[in-house]
This record gives sequence, structure tokens and C-alpha cells, in this order.
Amino acid sequence: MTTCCACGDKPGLAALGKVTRIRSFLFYFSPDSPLQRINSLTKLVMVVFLGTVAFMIENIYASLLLLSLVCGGLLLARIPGVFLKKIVMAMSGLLLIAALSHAFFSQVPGRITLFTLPWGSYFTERTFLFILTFYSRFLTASFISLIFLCTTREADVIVAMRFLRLPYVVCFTSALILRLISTLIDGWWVLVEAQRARGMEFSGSLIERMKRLSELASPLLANMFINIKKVDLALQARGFTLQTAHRTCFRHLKWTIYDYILLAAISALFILVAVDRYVYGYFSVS
Amino acid sequence: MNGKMVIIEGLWWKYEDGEDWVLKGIDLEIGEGEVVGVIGPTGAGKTTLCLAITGLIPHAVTGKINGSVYVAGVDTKTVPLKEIVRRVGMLFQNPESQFVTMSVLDEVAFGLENFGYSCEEMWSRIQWALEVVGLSGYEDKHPLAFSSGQKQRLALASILALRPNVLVLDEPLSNLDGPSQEEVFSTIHDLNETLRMTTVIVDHNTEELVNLVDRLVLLNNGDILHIGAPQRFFQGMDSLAANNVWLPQVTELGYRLSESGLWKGELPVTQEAAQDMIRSLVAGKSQYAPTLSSPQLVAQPLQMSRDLAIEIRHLSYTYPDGTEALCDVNLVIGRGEYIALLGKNGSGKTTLAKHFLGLLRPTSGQVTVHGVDTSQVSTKELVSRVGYVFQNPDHQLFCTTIEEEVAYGLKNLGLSPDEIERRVHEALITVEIAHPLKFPVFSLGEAARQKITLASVLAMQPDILIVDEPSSCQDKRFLALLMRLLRNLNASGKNIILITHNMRLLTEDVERVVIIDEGRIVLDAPTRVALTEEELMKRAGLKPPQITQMAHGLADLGFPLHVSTVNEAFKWVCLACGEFFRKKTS
Repeated sequence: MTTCCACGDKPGLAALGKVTRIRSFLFYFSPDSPLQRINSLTKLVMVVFLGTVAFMIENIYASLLLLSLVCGGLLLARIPGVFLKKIVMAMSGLLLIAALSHAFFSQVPGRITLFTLPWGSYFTERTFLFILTFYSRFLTASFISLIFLCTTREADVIVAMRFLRLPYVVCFTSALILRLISTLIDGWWVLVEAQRARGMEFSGSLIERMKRLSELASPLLANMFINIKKVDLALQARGFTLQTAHRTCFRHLKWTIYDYILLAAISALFILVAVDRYVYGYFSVS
Repeated sequence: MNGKMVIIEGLWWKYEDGEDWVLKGIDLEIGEGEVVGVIGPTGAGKTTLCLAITGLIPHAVTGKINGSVYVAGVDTKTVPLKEIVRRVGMLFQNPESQFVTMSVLDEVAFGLENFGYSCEEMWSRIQWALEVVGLSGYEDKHPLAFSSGQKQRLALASILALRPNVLVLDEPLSNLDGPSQEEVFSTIHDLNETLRMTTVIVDHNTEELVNLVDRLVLLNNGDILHIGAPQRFFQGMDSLAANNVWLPQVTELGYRLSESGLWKGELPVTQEAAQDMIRSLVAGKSQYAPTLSSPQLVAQPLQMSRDLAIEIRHLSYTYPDGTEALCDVNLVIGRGEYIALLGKNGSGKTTLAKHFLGLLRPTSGQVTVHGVDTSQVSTKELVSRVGYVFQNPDHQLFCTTIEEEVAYGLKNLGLSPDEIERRVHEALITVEIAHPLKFPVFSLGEAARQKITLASVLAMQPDILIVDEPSSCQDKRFLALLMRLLRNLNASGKNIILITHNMRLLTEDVERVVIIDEGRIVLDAPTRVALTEEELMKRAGLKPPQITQMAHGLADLGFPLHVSTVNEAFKWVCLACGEFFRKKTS
């Protein structure tokens, strides 16, 4: 959570007297989500630490446990169900394809070799465990990022990055790039609709569909560059320059007990997994 | 500066990648607190002039400049841009393109943060700016969740917070419906009344501009052709008409009457002046005027073809985010009908039209096109019957060259190369595009891009043509061409569905009007009948054409209330006067 410096509390909502849905990078989300009680820096730390932990753990049970915790976080984010279902399905599908293709070029030692592929890769009974771990890790990292992108506004990211003493130009540029995500998604659907209106069908085999969708890249980029040009003029028209010596910031980070608890828990987990990885190895046994 | 807030001396400007001068020796002085309206056809150099006053030319846009611009006492060429934008605020045409944050509060704070104001000062200025534009209480809302009018007011607030001396507004109303335009106009008017803020406003809506500005400037081809107070400005009608300027309908009427020798006085520029003109013309003759039942002016009952083009039964549609866009819509459109779907921004017009070609599928209810249930067939099967011209050409152009763009849909229909070539050629001739076939689409101007989108749909020869908000392109020549094309297509038996909030496009060809408000059809009637429903139109957020509003003030003379075009009003006055003279001489 961030506060505006003058009124000291989350502005606007009280004045409205009703719950207003807030837009993040990707979606509108409910301000009464419990994740709203934690500030953007805590969420950023959560993304980095839990993402790293997901890749440090090699034990499939620990990995699945972490994934289920993150899934709980997704529910707490209170993302509209229709969007959540679509994006989770798409991510799960893509990552499964990635995991399977990776397995086809792997050589995981095991007791029984099930089959050998012409290019030297082979499948053992442990390859399936490898696929599951690979899948679980990437899904965990993706879901954590999704929680962050769906519950954080770009203004709050700037506040968090500034707290870390990063230069304002870096903070603002990063936030602007992230903002483009939603612009690109919107632009993408508009172009798909326009092509359908002229008889294009996005059906057929996966390759055919990918080919047709890839044709959208060039107009999408052309429109994006036009928009960037316009945004650039709008920025300069309001006094934005790369010299930020005298720039002030309207929002500040607000720390609550939830931030301290969550940071402590995440740090403890990170240390535990790190120590285990290099000393005991319980989580490294797959 | 002698009370002058903006002084432009011999300004010439050429863009770095352009061959021609866009501004050619502009000389203009604007006094403190003055409101100046700039009008002119598309490509006249209006936006470039705005960028020059704001200092973005030459600081942020590269090119060649001659001459000088002084704003609030500083030379824009020599002073850093940051110092200039502190004095001049610019509102761009599309507010969405100038939003850089994701909440109202952050958006208004952004400029203040850049100038290093303290938190207390920022908070006080933000509250003031939001109060001025009427957006207090929406601080946490996402800018893109606002209506078009609110977006424009937010963009205005983010500039006002910096309390500039000069406000430059570049076509702030082009995408707004009637009520939203009024919102923005009234805010600008109040600002000028209370703060005496010097304002330069570029717009095509001369009917509203005349009530707001002290002077009007006609810019064309980079040169100022005409300048003066509104009353004097419009007396030079010939020059204005030749420069494709949108004129107030009442002024056009005055001009027609003056040309026919009926009117000898000054041309009216406001409704009230036009009413006075007509009253003085028909004084003592109104008993000879044709009445509502006169055959020349009677509202003819609709004769719907027994063959149905589109049939909608209990259609409801809810977007995935839960927005209920259409609710129990019932509508029948006969073959060959020319109808207009009217309603304010976000009323559900586009959502309804997208069901006609299967871009959206009903949440409940049924849509049939030529007897085919749209939910049972693919969009590909429907697009040969229904063509859709999108509002924004940039949303519909995705090929590299003109030829590829127009041929795109034809290839999808599986036509032979010879047939494709023939149709591409025909469509380009129809929309009067003379560029080479290999010309890059994205290098075309706005009006030409609109023409290409139209050609790409016309080439598919659909039986039903939907044109979504064509007035978002303000080029008068393009709109005249479009309306002529639609008339010809309708005469050849095609269905035309015009989606608009611009009531000026309601020509005599539009037989029927369907008004949509908050996802429901609130009126489905012949155009002439609909125009008499003043209250209902107001409730639906529609503003009748200026000539209709004028007619409502002349009801006591028997002036028909359903008049929507200058031609109809002219005809009535001529009939009234002609009948009088005929009876008098006989």
C-alpha cells in the first residue's frame, strides 16, 4: 500500500463512499483484496525471493507445496474469475509444451531407460519427475509474477523502486514499459477483431494459428511506435526531463504489520532453502 | 508585450522528414485572456501551430524553423522547454495518448512532481484542478475507465494543476458525443470567465466555437487566410466554403437565403440570430407557410421491405468483465433500408453492430442475418454479406501497401487473382484514391487512411454495410464523399447502417433512426419523427442538429420541428415566402 503524502491515507475511496475497482498493469482488481494491505516493495521482494526459491528447490513435493501456496495467493488477489481462468489456462498450456520439449532434449539418468531418441536424448523413469519439477517451478514463478502484475499499479512500482534508491529515470521507464503490456494486449485484440471482420479465421492447426497471429506483430508494433511518439510529446509537455534533481514524489510507501510479517516469512523461507541447498540438501533430493 | 500573451512573427516550419513547409510565414498576436479558435481542413497545419505555441516545436520535434514565437514574454526558441511548458499547457486530441499513469491522482500529480512542488502544494493544486473540471471524488479511478468526456476533463485537470498562462487545446472534442462536448466547452468557458486564461482552441465544431471564442482564425495550407470576430468572420462565406470549413448550419442557411435574394442582412452565426432572420423574413406571411401536413414536408411512413436483412430477438450481451452492454434488444431491419444507430459514447451501438457479423456472440437471444443465425456460422461466412468499417482506421489497417490492404479480405474470401485485381481497382476508384498501388499505407494522411479502410470493405461487396462513427475523421471532403457513396449504395439496394453520435450526418437519406441508451433501444422511428422527440433525445445524450434546435424555437411560426438539414429549412422558408408572393401577385 502507498499513501499520498498530504492526506496520509489512501485517497479517493473514502470520498467515493463505495468500492471502486482499481486497475493494475493487467486487470481491474478489488481494493478489498488482502494483498492490498501489503505495499508494492513487499510484493516486489516476494516476486524476487519466491521466484528464486522456486528454482532452488529440486524436491518435487516441496516444489508442489510452494506452487499450492502461490495458488492460494492467486485466489487472495481476487482477480476476476474469467480473466484468471483464461490466463492460468494459457500459461499452464504453454509451460507444459515448454517442459515436454525440454524433456525431449534431456538426458536424465535413471534405473530404467524407457526409450532413446535418434539425437541421443533418452527417457528414464526419472524423466517424468524432471518434467513435473520443471513445470512446477516455472508455473510458480509465472504465478508469482501474475499476482504482482494483477495487484500493483505502476505508480506503486515507482514508489518501491525509488525506495530502493534506483534512479527515477530507470523507475519511470520500467513502469512505462510495463504499462505497455496492457496497451499491447488491447491493441492485439482490436487487430484480431479487424482481421476477423475481413474474413480471417484464427482456426486450424496450432502452427497455422501461430502463423496468422504472428502476422499481427508488424501492425501492432507500428501502432505502438506511433503511441510511444505521442506519449513522449505528452510527457515533455508536462515538464518531464531526464534531469530529475528537483523532482518530488507524491506517493510514499506505507508499512503495516502485514508487510513485516510477510517479509520475515519470505526471508526465513529463502534462508532455509539456501542453507539447505548448500548444507543439508533435503530440498535438493528429487 | 503590451498585454499580448502570444506573439508569432513570420513563423515557417518544415518537419525533418517532410519536403514542404507546413507553416508558411504565420503572423498572429493573441491578447491576455483572449480565446482564439483555429479552424481549417485536415492537414492545414493546425496541430503544428499548437506544437509551436507550446514550444514542443522546435524543442521536442525536429525540423527547420524560421521566425519567432513568444509566449508569456519568453522566446520559445531560446528558453528551455521546461520553462515554456510551465507557462503553456497543451491538451492533445486523444486524451488516452497523454495519460502516463494509472490513477486520476497520479495523473494530475505527474506534472507537479516534475516541477518539484512540495506535497502540500501538490495536494492543494490537485484538489483545485479536480474541482474545476468536476472530477473530485474519483481520485483512485483508472483514467481509461472514464467516459470520453471525463477523460478529456482529466487531461485538462492535469494541465490546469500547473496553472499555465496559456491553454492550447488541439481538437479536444473530435471524439466526444454531444453532452461530453458540452461538458468540455462549458469547463473551458468557466475557466476563461474566472481565471481569464488565454486560450487557443483548434476545432471543427464552429457551431459551438462561435459561442466561446473572441476571434476565429482560418488556417489552410500553412497560411492564415482569414481572421476576425465570429460575426465578421463568417461573412466571407465563399472563401470558407472553398476551404472545406465546417460552417454553422444556421450560417449556411443564411447564405443560401442570401444567394437566392431573400435575405439582405448579415449572415447569422447563432441559433438566435437565425431565428430572428427567419422571423423577419416570414413576418406576416406565416399563414402561407407550408404546415406539417404539407406534402413537401410530411414525415412519410416507413415502408419496410417484407424481406428481412437483420432480425434481432431478445438480444442481451455481457462483456467478460461483467459490463452489461445490451439488454433485451429487439430490432428488425428490412432489406435495402438506410438506418442510423444513434446514442452517446458507450451506449451499446458498436456492441450491437458487432453482433451482425458475428464478432460478438449473444449472451442470450438471437441475431439472424438474411435468415442465418449468426451464432451458428463463422464470421468468415458472414463477412461476405456484412461489411464493417471501423471507427479508427489504425485499428483496421495491417498490411504494408494499399493494394495488399484492399485485397486482404478478398483473398480470405478465396476469389481468383483476376477478380481480386478488378475489385481492388474498382474500390480505389470509388473512394477516389489516386496513390500508386504499392504506396505504404502508414504513410498516408488521416483522410486517405479512412478511404482505404472504406475501400477494403467495399471491395468485398457486402449487402449490408456498417459504418462506425465516420465523423471521428473531421475531413469535410471525406465525409461528403462518404455520404454520397452511402446514398448510391443504398440506391442500388444495399442496407446501410450508420453508427454515429454526430447528428449532422443525419441527412435526408437516413430513413430511420434507432436510438440506444444504456444498452436498450429507447426509440425506433422514422428520422423526421425522431427529431421531434427533443426530450427523449436529450435523455439519451443526443443533441439534435443545430437547424433542428433552431426549428424548435420557431414552432409558433409553424416551422416543422423535424427539419434536420439546411436544405429542408431553406425549402420551407422559400415555400413560405414564395406562396406569399404568389398569392399576392395573383
